Amino acid sequence: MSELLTRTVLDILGSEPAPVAQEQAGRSPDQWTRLVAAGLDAIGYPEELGGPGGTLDEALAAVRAAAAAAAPVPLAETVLGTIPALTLVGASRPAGLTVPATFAATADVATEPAADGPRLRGVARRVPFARHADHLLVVIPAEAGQWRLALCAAATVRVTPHGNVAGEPRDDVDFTGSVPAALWELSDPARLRLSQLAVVARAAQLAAAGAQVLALTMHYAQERTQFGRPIAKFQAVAHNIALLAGETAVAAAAVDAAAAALDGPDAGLAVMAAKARVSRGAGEVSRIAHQVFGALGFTQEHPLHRLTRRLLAWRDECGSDAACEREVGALVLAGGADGFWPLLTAASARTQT
Amino acid sequence: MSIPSPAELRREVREFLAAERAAGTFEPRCDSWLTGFDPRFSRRLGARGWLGLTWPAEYGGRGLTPLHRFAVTEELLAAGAPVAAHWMADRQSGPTILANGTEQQKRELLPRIAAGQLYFCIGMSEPDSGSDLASVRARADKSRDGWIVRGTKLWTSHAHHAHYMIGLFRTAPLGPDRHAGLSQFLIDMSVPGITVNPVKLIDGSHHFNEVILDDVRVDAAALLGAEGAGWQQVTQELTHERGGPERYLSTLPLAIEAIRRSGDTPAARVVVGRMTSELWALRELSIQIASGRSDRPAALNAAITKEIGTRLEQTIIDYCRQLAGGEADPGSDDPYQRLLAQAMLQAPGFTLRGGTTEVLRGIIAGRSGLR
Repeated sequence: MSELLTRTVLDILGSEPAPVAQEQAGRSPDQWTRLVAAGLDAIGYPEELGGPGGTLDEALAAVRAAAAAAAPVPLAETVLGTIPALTLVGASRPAGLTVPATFAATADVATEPAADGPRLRGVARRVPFARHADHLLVVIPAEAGQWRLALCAAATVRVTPHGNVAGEPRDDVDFTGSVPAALWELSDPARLRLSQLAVVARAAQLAAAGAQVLALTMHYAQERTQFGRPIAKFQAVAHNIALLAGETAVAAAAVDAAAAALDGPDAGLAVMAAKARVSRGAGEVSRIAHQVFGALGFTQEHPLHRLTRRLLAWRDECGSDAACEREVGALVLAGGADGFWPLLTAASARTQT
Repeated sequence: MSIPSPAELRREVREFLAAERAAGTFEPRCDSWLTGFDPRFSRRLGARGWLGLTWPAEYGGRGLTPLHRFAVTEELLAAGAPVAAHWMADRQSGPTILANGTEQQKRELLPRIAAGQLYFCIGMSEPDSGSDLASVRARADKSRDGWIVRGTKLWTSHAHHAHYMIGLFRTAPLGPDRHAGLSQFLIDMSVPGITVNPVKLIDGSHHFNEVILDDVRVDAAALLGAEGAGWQQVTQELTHERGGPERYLSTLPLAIEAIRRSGDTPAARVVVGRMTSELWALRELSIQIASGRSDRPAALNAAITKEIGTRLEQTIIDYCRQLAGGEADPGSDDPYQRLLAQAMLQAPGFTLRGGTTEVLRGIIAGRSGLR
């Protein structure tokens, strides 16, 4: 099923890459319309809520394919943010685009009582694609370690546009004064799950974009001739490409393992370690690819930057390498020296059977 | 007896090691799969059925999966347990014999390896053949009733303890195909004509040797696998050698002691977090090899695991130096200072043995499809 989805997404996106203007604006309405028409923005939404159903693996496969195609579309945010959030609270899906603040850099939003019911107060920073949203989802604290999920119409919030280095919208959203269209109870495990899904989503995008960078780089190095032979024949170039291949292999294994660990007791370490490692590798992947491609890869005309600008942006989103390392380090240091190895091995779903 | 899951087996080994440590049987060492030579310990592991455990029961194994073996070897290495005596035999020689050996070779040798009683060394490198393994000059010539082996093998770990060598020898003159005309032999190290000279390592310890084979007469049954198929067999063998946890855990005992000495500061969190993330992620690639769940060829994944893992083992030393104060001291009573010294002095070998980083990068590029 995942292979079929991957092919479908690649067919839809690969047949017609985003035009330069759309790519620079960080959003392709054309590509998004085609994905929505194929129902790919609803993967995982259960049948009893009117969706097509689908597994986490399938959602990840679609997200990976869109990332490999460097498509400027809010697919990851939708199928690994909006859809799981609505599913967790059993809610029906509003029309149009709903973006989740679970992918934001920060979301410091709370409720305060008002005559006409609870209103929100606070700001979420760097919310993907917020300016294009019809609705926004934001997690807010409730009493005693519990949470709520609020759905707000776009007309009730103030959006200040910002962007990442890939040109993708990363907007600040001021929820102050918004009366939510809906408000649901959200358990702490559900909140944690949503935040971990966002981290795994970005890690999966990084791994997939990196794998595509490797493919482009291998192809180019065998095609480009200098000093009378393909540059792939130069050991210095080949060894750099070997490092690139190594980074992509580790990234793929890490994302696969983090996704597998999501339902287990030690998901926290696996998810954070995966994002830390994949983010740290992403800079190296971009650096090596640009070095191999030379001046050509440094131009807008060449498609390499569509992938590398995303690598450079996504590595800092939903937890940078340093931020994730801090969390992993805190977990390890809290467990002490003799807990280190047991913790490391417990955080692998693949060896727990 | 019911078959344990890999996780159950891991717990068993972990409990055993905790008890051994409590009893003072061993002190954790860095790089214990090369430096911790202890036949008594190896025999105890054999008695528990933890060696050769993927081999068929008729050859002394238990028919368990590579993930079972992965669990056992990881626990032994993480604990810094003395596993060097049986390591080459269990990891490399046994599987090679199982894949290429005659029925008689398998029946005679494998059960004793699995019992932790029979140790092997690997006769590949020579004075003029290091990374360029196909250039080996030691040769085996047919005699009336067997073979006559002559030449010099170098950097041969534990040749002075090993009962057997599996060596790569030229059995036909070098022709246009450099990989043709090579064969593997099982050589009983006690036969006349073999001289083993120590080659001390930089810390003064004796693991390496020069092995001189001076017209050593071996019978026809010493040939391992097919005559002339040595290169293919060795290449297969190196896949076993490269993808396992000994390529990222050689300095784990040091990491544990460094964490013990570290405070919980923001700076320490980042260093510990980076070390842990790198170990965790690479370990997942090694798990993919052991579980066979990757769409990349095993030989490629194994080369990547070793290329990244052995550099990580070296980098872990620097992470530990950032985390914990104190100078390295081989004779210190302080475990951190002692382990740091062991790690520093063994580290140059990590990225050399079993294929240098440079050779591996060539393999990774080639196996990825770069021509």
